[in-house]
Amino acid sequence: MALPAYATAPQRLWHYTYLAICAVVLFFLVMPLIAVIPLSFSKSPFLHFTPELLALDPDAFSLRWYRQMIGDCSDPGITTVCSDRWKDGAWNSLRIGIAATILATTLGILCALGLSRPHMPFRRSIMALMISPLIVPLIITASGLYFAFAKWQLVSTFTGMILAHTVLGLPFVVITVTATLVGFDTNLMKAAASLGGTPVRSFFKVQLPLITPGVISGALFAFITSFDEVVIVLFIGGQNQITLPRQMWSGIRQEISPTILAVATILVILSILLLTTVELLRRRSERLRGVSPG
Amino acid sequence: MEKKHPALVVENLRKRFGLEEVLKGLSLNANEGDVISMLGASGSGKSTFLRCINLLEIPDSGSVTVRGETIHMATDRAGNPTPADMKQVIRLRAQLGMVFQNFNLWSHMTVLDNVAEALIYVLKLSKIEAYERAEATLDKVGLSNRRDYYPAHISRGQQQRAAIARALAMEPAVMLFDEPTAAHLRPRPLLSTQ
Repeated sequence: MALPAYATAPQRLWHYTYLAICAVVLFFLVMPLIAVIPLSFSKSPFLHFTPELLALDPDAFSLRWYRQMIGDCSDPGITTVCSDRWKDGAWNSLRIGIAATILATTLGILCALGLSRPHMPFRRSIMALMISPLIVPLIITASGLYFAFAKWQLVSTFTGMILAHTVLGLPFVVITVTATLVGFDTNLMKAAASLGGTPVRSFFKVQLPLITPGVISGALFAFITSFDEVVIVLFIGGQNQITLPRQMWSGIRQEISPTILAVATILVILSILLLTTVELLRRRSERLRGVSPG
Repeated sequence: MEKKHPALVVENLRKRFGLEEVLKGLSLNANEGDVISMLGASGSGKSTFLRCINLLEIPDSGSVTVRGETIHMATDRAGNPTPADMKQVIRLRAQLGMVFQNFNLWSHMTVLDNVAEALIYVLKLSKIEAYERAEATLDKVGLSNRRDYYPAHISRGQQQRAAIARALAMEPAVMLFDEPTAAHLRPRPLLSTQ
């Protein structure tokens, strides 16, 4: 957004103030993430910037916290408890996250398809109900699920965790897929029907590929929601369902170890990779659709 | 046996939208090789008539017979007409090729895939056969040099020819064209039979 040559003094002033405000907001948003990364490479077992670290002394840096994270306890300098719990936590998070994402995406697509039908009764009420996990305070959802699941013996089970995270991820899929379906040309389904395609086959070959960008971003949100969720894990997860965020939470409470920063750095990098992938996929599908010439 | 029956017989077709009766008992008899055009002001029901023939729109009453096979109709619980046997409708639709006003090519598939898709999944041809037939049909409409393009990257006239190829490759009994002159192609009949 360049300033035109004929801008008046107040316009110039506003332009630079505007840029300054943007810079401050960006700094505020990104700073906590950036601060974590150098600290995770620090040799010191304390969470602060040592003078050596600030002087970029190579001896002040090490990968020991990353080694500890993957369960390598050979480093004698590590005084905190060293075990496979980070690896187990990551594995649990991944398992629960992927299963919950698959479930939430499948159910969310079906729900969005139903809600996009013009003759669907109680459309608004059902939509409100579907996105309620986003609005209802998490602690209430968590305690509600806890009491319900206790009755069905689902507390401290993987099934319970997956179902609970599915509930949290569902609204994201429903919202993104519903939004994508608004732009979907239903005549393409009529074309498939006119050629003798069955509704199910037409859905998989025509509609699903075209709404994929919405499905992927919904699935991604569902996955990230599950992956960094700690409240529900505290209620429903047992000793065998300790996820990565749950491990970080107890890590911070019991001992302050830079391993948490190493884990945080990995999570930041993973999130950036995921978002980049989705953006690239979205651009690709936009390029294919293009705008028809003439 | 096919010779005995006319390709398409429509009898007393009625369709109303709300209070307005768009189709007031339309009948039509098309023999093999016939070319029939319909003219009328916009909104007069030409497209609705075509859509009623392959049941993309459900007619209120009347019958459609394709090569001697009449589409069975029934009424649902609310008293609205509905196809009695959806499988029959799906089967007969493959006999009723349709070229839509906006062509409705699938934007995520190349021109060749657009044509081959139904051959593989509806006619159950092998992939090799399907692509051979699709290429031959594209050749017929003069589009073989655009077969690997996505629909968004070809002109409207070419899109129309791709849509014609897609319907034609099914070797249907009847071809239904909706507003075929809209893409500035040389005028073609609205409804023609093989």
